[in-house]
Amino acid sequence: MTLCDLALCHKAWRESRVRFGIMVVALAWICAAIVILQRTIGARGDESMSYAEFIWKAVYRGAVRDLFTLLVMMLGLGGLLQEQARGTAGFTLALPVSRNRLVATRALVGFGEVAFLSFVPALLLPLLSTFVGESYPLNQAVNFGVLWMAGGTILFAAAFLCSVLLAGEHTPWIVCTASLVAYLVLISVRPLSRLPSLNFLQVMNGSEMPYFREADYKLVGPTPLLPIAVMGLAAGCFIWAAGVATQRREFS
Amino acid sequence: MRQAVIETSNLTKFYGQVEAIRDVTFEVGSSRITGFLGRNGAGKSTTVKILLGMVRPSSGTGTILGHPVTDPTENLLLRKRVAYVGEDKGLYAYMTVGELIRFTRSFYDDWRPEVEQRLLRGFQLPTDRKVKALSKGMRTKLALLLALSRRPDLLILDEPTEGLDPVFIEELLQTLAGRTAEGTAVFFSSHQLNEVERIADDILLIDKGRLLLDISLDDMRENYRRVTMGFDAEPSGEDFRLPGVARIRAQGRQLSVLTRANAEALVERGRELGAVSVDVAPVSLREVFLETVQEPK
Repeated sequence: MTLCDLALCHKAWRESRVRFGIMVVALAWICAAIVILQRTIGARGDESMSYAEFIWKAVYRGAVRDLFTLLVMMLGLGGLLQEQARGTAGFTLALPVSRNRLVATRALVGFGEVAFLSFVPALLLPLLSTFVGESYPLNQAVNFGVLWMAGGTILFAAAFLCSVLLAGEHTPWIVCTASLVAYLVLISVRPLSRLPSLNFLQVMNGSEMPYFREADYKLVGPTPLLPIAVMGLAAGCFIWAAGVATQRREFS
Repeated sequence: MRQAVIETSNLTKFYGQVEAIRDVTFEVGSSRITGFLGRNGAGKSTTVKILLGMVRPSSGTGTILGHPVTDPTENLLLRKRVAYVGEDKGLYAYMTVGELIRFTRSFYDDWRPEVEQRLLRGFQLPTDRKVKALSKGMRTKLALLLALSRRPDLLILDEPTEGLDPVFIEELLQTLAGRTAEGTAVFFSSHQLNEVERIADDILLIDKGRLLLDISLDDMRENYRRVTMGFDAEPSGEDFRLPGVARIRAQGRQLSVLTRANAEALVERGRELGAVSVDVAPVSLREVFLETVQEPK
């Protein structure tokens, strides 16, 4: 990595750090709220529900995952089109670096932020659980974190591509969210619904996956590398497409 | 023969159906200052953006320092040797002045820290202030500092004096003039014709996407003349359409002719046709500009 790359990474970080900080706080806050309030407000509801089941339903398949999904898509926003709207694209494009490098460094920083966000629940859940007299295994939290990271990279990369293709402050996020909803509707229809691994949200929480045991709501066996690799590959394709689109675009 | 740092050949650009520039062909010489003039929307910024690879031409070719501008790899190489200050002076608002300087210098081998420090003091830029908190004039100064702290082969400046006070403009003009002595060519656009006239060696004038004038200022001073003639009766402008005549204006019994050459022949023609008064005067860049771009009334 050259000095130019580091400078570009720093730029990408500076452009996203406020957004990223707010996301970390939001994710941490909702995780904490779920764990701490689960007894006091009877959030767990059914007393027979185990703590692991409650965490899985509230965090890994529930509101926290949905929030994570929306947040990582927001992380993907930015890039030269948004810079053009702010009047800084000319300065950036005059730098002696290729457009591919601009795309790659922004993607690299974004993936790092997605990875961090993915592990926010993993860092907090085991720790906060002890404060409320419960326990949640760290290895489970970390394994879910790995799956979230893989799913998060797809969502981030899809939003990244939208922000390269579409101008406007909010348009890319709206289009990306709408595309996600359309995709989820599409794969819920037969015969695609018979292939649960097409639904990366299910891959993220393990539902109907061979590496998830519904009896105790835990991930079992080795880390599922194949779905993670497939999601990584899909994310890579989105970033590659974003690079091609950026290369072809004019900034008048 | 002077070496060209910029060469364009029939550059044409359409945005959809709208023609931004057509058949723009010119050369910019090394170690010279070239003023690029034109009204708003004339095609100046489009030309500059094509040269820097931000916009692709619909047809035509261009090179900077021998690098074809339309080839992304070559364009990257040329950007290492070119310093650019854009029209909007858009800089990263979230960085401080110091951060932006450190960011920018990490891209260039030709950065001169001693010049950076001198300009920082001279421009009175607070290094700890965020760019978004700077006035327009201060932002322009910062953009200029980022360009002038280097030793590029070519400086491309789009409206560099916009928002600056007269004292600073004066200093900037002197700095630009000094840069050519170091071997840097300067290509700048401006609406301030008196500034251009003071420091430019060559003039390019573009209007409605067409290059109308490509001349050295020395040539202009030597050859361009305004010939004003008075007659007893209303004269016909057609009688004065001689080679070199750029514009003829008739007002009552007075005829004013702007000519690129041949002022003597015009005077002679006027006398033949009974002119009672003849005045030949050198012309300013402002006159040439206005006569070239203004529609005849």
